[in-house]
Amino acid sequence: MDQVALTALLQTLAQGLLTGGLYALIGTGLSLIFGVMQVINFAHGDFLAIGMFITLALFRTFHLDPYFSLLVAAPFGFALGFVIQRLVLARLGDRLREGSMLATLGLGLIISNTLLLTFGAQPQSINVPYATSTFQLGGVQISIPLLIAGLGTAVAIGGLNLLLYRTELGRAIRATAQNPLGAELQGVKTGSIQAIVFGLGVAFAAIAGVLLMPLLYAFPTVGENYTTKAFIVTVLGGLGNLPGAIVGGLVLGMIESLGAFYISNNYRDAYGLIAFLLVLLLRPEGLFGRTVKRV
Amino acid sequence: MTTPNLPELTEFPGQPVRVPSGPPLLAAEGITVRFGGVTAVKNVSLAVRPGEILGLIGPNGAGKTTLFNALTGFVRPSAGRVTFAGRDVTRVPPQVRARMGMARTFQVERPFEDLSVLENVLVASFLRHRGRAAEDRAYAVLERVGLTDRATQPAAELNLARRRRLELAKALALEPQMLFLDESIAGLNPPAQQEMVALIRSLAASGLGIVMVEHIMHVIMTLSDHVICMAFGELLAEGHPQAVATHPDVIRAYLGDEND
Amino acid sequence: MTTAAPLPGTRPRALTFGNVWLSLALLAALLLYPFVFGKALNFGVATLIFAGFAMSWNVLGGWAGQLSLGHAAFVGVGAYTLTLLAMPERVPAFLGGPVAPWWGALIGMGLAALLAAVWGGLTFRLRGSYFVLSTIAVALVLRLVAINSTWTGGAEGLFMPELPTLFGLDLFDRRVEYGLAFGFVTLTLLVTHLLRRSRLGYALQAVREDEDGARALGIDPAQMKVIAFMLSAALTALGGSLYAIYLQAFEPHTLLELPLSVQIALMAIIGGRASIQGPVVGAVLLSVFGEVFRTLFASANLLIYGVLILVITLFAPDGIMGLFRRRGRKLGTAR
Repeated sequence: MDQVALTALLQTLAQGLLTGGLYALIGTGLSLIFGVMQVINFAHGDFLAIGMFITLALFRTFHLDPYFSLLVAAPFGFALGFVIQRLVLARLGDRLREGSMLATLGLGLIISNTLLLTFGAQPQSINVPYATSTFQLGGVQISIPLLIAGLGTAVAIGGLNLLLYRTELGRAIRATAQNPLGAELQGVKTGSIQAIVFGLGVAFAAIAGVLLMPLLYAFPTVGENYTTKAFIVTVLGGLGNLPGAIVGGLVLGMIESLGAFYISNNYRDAYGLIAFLLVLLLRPEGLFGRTVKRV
Repeated sequence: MTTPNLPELTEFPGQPVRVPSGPPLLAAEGITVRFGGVTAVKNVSLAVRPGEILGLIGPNGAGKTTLFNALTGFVRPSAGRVTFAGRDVTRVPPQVRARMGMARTFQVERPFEDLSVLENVLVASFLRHRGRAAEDRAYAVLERVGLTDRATQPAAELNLARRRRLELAKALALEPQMLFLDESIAGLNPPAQQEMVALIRSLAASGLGIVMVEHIMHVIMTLSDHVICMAFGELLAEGHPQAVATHPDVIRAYLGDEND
Repeated sequence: MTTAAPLPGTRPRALTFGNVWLSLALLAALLLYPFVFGKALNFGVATLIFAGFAMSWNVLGGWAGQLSLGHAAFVGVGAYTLTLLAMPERVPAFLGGPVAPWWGALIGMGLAALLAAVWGGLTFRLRGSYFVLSTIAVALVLRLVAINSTWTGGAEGLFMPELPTLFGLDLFDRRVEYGLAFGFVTLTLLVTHLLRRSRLGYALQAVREDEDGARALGIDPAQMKVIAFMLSAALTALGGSLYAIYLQAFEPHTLLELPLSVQIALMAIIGGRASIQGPVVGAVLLSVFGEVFRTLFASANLLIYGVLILVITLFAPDGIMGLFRRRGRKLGTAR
């Protein structure tokens, strides 16, 4: 392969990896929620949109650098998720599986439409000096904000890992995920755990939103697309499988990047969807999951 | 070892147990069911003739339910064969078995909660009939089991005894030749038990082959023509109810070794 | 086993067509609408078409209990089929010329049923949540294909060409469209009433309630779900064809988008999945609300959908019609 083609390939891969990292962050939040609560959060992308708009608002009002918005968006997202789980999801009882789909669908609509009423439909962006800067690495251009987003993702996921495997809380969460009744009997307050987990998932979405803001335009319905991406990631990796979600995110990023470059940019979103459908049909437990019961 | 005191075998009114003859309607050979590393059922064989009642007993965890599910198509055996009326049905799914004439009840009743009692049975009678005829048949079955007074009640509101009867009604509406009863009697009060026993006996008398899993010893002993006792997935003893009940292995399986 | 048998002649019946009077009353009201609100005919036609969409959705969503968030795909199949076959420059050569819209609509129904058969056959083995996700994905893939294929007009979409008249009636006359849309809603109500009294209807309900229990009674759940899916798809496509005529121009971004699928599903659920007329009630209510909201806030009319579905899911899972259920009597025989 000649130099130009090699550089192009590396460029595409780098792009795919970094974007994939962000997808992994979004997917991890969704997968965590599903793994512990068996809830499919249809509003996940809309929580991401909240993160984006918080960043936008803070930038406009206080000229706050977007990355500082993390300090606001992450706790806010956590609190929002916690409250939603307590007030809405916890009331569904044994209708949880279907009820949570509908409830989160409704919440997503409320969020996106409230954003629409508050901020208007026009796509908006923030202008930070480093938004378009890149740096060179061996002939490959790497976008700085994308790189920072990738680093942010790594930190967030690393933090989650620490939480789950090195803390008491993490143990309680894992126990609830594996066997809610058993965990309850051992003294774990599964109700609080579920609220915490949902809060974490929403926080992750909001963080992703903040990290994306320097790169993209924000508009109220931006969430819809990211909810779909999150589903693709989690299904690829196996619903509830956290390491799988990370790999799934990276895989999705790569598929899109490679497909867009080598086949057609028009169908960029289609490659992920097709992979998603193939996995659903051929291996619904995900590329890394254990076998799911088939009817 | 002294013979322990078994509970008095209650005299149920009705005909004495007969031993039917003829070719078996249902035959199972060498049924083995493995889940992962666990062998739930190991090399069990049995046969049931039309009009015969086969009782399946054994302590908890003996594999009765798994064998039951294997016989009715809800679990695929890892080895062995199930034949019904001469046809190999080992791999045949439950819905096809129903059409062939095999009907079952579930230990934890599964009524269609949102539908009424009559409608529950109607779903079943639609297998063999259409339209008004199906509805008439369903109602007739309700009369047979004594649920006509609750015909329009939502199934979700029934008490235990009536839920059991509804389970049975749904199975009967399929007009089966072979009936599989999963703990239809346990948990009922004595008068309700008497009614069920009489019903089951009359069903066998009309030519149905019946396999019943049951915990209540005196019911199994009076109803069954033939009894199989399982423990740890294997066949422990089989034969005439009296013989099985007094078999030392069976007593040990249920009551534990005297050295325990 | 002696229980008092009901008096002869009072034997309860399960096989009924359901509340036909309510449907007739509803239809009568809908029939009167154009005479009272003659100026708001556009709104009326659109509402009726969506009512029909919601009713069609409910065959799968309410009766078979399978939540689909991809029904826009079938709307699209109906719309695109009718339009493409009616356009002289795009109709496939082997058909020898543009196809009249009624045949186009029929073909659209067939194609939709085929899509449902294939897609359903593949995905109904999966657990419920996976099916929902697959519906979203398939609709999105179709959308991308429509956007990127020149034959379907790409991202700009299609303009409805001249259409032949139907018994002398101009299909682009709003009053004619209202009549057709009315017919569509009537058809879906009829199908649902027939379903209520049929073996298929009961089999679908059994599958919805308990698949293993249904199996034990001789019903094949996968087969039933596919049948429901095909019926639902075909009816939706019929509405889609009508929708294309109403819109006169459409493009894939808005016709095949997820929010459309969500709208259809929510209309049925908010109205009441468990009742025959529920979806119509839901569609009418939400359309009216949406219209009011639009005039007040000029946008964000889906906000009401979000609020209502949240409220309904939490406090009234059987939808609005569920609130009128006679006390103690659940859905079963009153369905």
